[in-house]
Amino acid sequence: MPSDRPPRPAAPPADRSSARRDLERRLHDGPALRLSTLSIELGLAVVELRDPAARARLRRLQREVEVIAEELRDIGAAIYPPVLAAAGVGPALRAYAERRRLPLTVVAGPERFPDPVEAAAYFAVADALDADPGRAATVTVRREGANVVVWLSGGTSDGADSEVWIPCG
Amino acid sequence: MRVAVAEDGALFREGLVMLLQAAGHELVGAVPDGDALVALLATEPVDVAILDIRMPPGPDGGLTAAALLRASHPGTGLLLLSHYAETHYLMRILEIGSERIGYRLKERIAGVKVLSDTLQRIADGEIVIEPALAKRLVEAPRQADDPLSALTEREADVLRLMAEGRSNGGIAGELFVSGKAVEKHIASIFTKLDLPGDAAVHHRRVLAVLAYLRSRRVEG
Repeated sequence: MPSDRPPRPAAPPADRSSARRDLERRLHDGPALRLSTLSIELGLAVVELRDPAARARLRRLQREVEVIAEELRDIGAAIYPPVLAAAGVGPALRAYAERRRLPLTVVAGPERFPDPVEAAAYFAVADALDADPGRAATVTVRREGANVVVWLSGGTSDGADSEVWIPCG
Repeated sequence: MRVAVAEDGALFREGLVMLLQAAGHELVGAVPDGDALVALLATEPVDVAILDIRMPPGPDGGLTAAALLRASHPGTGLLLLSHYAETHYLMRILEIGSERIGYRLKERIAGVKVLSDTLQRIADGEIVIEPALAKRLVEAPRQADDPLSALTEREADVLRLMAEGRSNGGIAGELFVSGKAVEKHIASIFTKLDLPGDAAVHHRRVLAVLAYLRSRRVEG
């Protein structure tokens, strides 16, 4: 696992992680909450209506609202996973694998890093697995001196391991 | 049933209040944050408190308030609502309690029947988990060497009852064994499942829930 290759930075100089995090939060606080409220309003309307056909139509609308909320969650997670913000790289990668039913083994401590570092580490792995999903893989995230080192074993068709060093003051 | 609501989104809170009243529940109060809920329940007991996870105080004020309420009012049911259905939050909720507790998506409890069913199951002592999350957990790829297969039949019984939210005393009563015997079984389950000591509580609860869900084949 240790590498004798020279460290190479992965985070681009212009970091967008805080903007992405804010964008996901806006989805949560705005449209997502409005959809939940809309769903409640539809549920109330179902109670007030007597016509079975009208009630059935409202229930179909409610199902549609649920589908939209689910799609909004997927988009939000692609922008900045809520678990990454709440709990860091390890839990976020486990959530990523769980959603996609990937047999991903994640070895990561509870240590938190600055947003740009966590985002770089998370998206390095997620992008690699998005490009070639469905293969067994192990990912380890560890601090090594002034860097966070992300090591991905398997998960790509060529079977090569990949390693990313992210500067972390 | 007597209920109280804590949610910082005013429109959602008002809608939820109306839905609860339409379902025939007695609303003790509706407040915008966790601290106000804790203060309210200090004098007004409820059967179930409904809490948004992401509200003041702090980023996850609903979880903070839920932990306080569980300590001060262990018999009060807790329903945590969120826009997210994530294992991370489930684990944190199960650290607060593994009985009389629920975790559901906000837009999925928006009917009189589903809301009342959820509240009733929590009041009855059950764990209620958002079906989509439960399904994801059940369908997660299992390790080739499934550690649960190492459990004896009796240990599997203990694990199932833990997952149903029973206390150690309740498990002992159900299985006609002593409390000491139950503790021994639980220690053995931890060892066989190779649970790290520092994370035993939430791992124990999550694994118990997983085992329970798998055995029940819960549908999403």
